[in-house]
Amino acid sequence: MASARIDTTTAGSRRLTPELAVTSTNGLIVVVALVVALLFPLLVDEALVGVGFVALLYAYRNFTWNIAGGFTGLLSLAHGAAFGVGAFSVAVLTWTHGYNAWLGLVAGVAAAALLGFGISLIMSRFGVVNPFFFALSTLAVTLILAGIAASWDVLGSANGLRYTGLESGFLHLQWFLDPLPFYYLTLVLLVIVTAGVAAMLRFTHFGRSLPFIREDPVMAASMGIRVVRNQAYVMALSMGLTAIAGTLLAQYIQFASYDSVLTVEIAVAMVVGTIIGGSGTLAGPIVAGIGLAALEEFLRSFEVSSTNVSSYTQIMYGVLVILLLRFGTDGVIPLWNSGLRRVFSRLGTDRGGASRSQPPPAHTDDAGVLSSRAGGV
Amino acid sequence: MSSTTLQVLLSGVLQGLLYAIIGLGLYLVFSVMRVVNFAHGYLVLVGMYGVLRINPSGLGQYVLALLVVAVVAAALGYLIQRLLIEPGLDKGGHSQLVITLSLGIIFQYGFQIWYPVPFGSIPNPWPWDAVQIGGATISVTRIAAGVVSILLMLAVSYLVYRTRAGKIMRGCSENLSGAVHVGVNVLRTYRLTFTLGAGLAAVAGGLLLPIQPVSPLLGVELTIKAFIVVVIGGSGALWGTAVAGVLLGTAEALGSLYAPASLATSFIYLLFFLIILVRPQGIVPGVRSA
Repeated sequence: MASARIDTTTAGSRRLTPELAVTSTNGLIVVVALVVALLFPLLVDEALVGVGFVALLYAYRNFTWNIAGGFTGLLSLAHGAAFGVGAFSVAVLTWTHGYNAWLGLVAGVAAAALLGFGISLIMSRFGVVNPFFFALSTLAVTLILAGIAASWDVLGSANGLRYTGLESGFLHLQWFLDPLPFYYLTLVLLVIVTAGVAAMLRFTHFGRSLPFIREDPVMAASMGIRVVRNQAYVMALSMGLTAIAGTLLAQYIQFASYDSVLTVEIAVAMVVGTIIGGSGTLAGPIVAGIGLAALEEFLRSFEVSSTNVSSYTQIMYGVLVILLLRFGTDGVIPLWNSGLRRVFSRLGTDRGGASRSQPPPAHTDDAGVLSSRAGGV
Repeated sequence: MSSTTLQVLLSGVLQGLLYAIIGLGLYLVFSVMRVVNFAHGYLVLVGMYGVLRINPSGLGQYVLALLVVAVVAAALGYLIQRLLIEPGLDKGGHSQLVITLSLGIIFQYGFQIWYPVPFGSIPNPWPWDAVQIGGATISVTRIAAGVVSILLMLAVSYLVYRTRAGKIMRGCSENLSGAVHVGVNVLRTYRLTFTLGAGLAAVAGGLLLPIQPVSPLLGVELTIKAFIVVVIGGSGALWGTAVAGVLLGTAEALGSLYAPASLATSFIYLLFFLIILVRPQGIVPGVRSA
């Protein structure tokens, strides 16, 4: 964030213009996207509303992963477990024992947050977080919970749990496969969480410490930031919010089993989605979530058996991510922003100043994107 | 000790020797390059599917198949290192982590498409059947796999501790800038290490195939197990990895006595977290210069 400010002050007020233009263009896009998102279910048929719900759910899921994985640099694969905890929490508490669904949701959030907090603290035993150790250990967490769910009858073991109740409505968080309320609920959730996280990153000491921890945890610690504590908090926040997505999906499909809602694939999908969109940006995970959901739907329309479709799409994601990383780009949103910046600085400075449009190096750009985004999305 | 317990324990130890070999490949790459190859378990699967594909009849063909998969996986490892890992080495951990993770995904679903029928295996390639030890019956595939694993481990320790190439590898591991200063060709060492790790993984896979049927989902499990072996073994010496592998195999075998397989695996991973809490530096703590 600081880097963007330094950028504008050192280069003088003239460089402010393209930067401002980028921000206002993005702001405009956000407004248009919100209006489209609000009107979308009214314009299309129900099946597409379902796709829209899934797309928003992916976007939300990616976004919650991004809080820990993108902004703080904690590449966690335990978020698959968090998603499953949310789903199984409502499945066990509400479907089996008849408690209110909102209670199930809150319990899921609490359990997932606690899990994230605990994992993060255990990982701090390794000293400075090694991304590899963190990723593999958190992967083990997802596998542990999946293994337990696969063999414990309370969690449905091999057959899974089904919703058999009759109540519906907002109070019960259940609309029997009617995607419309789920769609708007997820949209509201996504907007609130995005705005909240943007504000947190910008205005709170805790939020501002996160990119610092990502870039240099040792330096951050020496500057008095409580790295271990903040990492534990951010994992709790991130995984707690992921659990809501699990609850919503379970309520929508009225089914929860170890191989549908508690898988490594879900965790990987969050990582891959965020990285394709641009990890550490506010809009990246959302754009990629919606884009990938649309792409999946598009591929499904071909006449191929469904298992093969998912195999091919997964391979495609893998290739896409490798290409993105191999060729040194940071994802869709950073690409978009640097493209816009280039266009505007060329438009704004016709008097031979085009050569001045020096693109900042990758990491500063990351922070710059973050601040310009914080104004928009 | 009842004969069942003995049988389970012995198979656990022998299985553990295979885990040690798989872990050893990961350990070499990690300690030399500071990269944990997420796709390591899938390189083991390359060995398993490769041998399954060749479908050897008789010992001669089996040994040949092991050599073929080792060479293929080593070549694959070399390409992965050259094309995917090397360019991002100066960018910090995240890039290689996500690249190898994606590579794992590609392998997993590639195998899924290539081999849609799960749980393929091959019959016992060795010319003996089973051995009776104190009332316990141990299949010869396990014993042979264990023996080959021990031989491989000895060969790798010879390479690491007694040869010039091994000295250079240890140099890169202990002090990278020092190694650069004395003129070590670091990139070549990295390539050698990664190639070696991939080859070891594939051989272990070929040895594992007659014991355990192969499925694409095994890849992620083996990656995690190799990782556990590396962490528990510690970064100080090779023998830590061997001991950790045997411990893992034994714990897993004992767990399977009391619980279904999926739960036993969960139990092992939980145990791993407990061990991290108590002893994050592993059995043999490393002498690490920063």
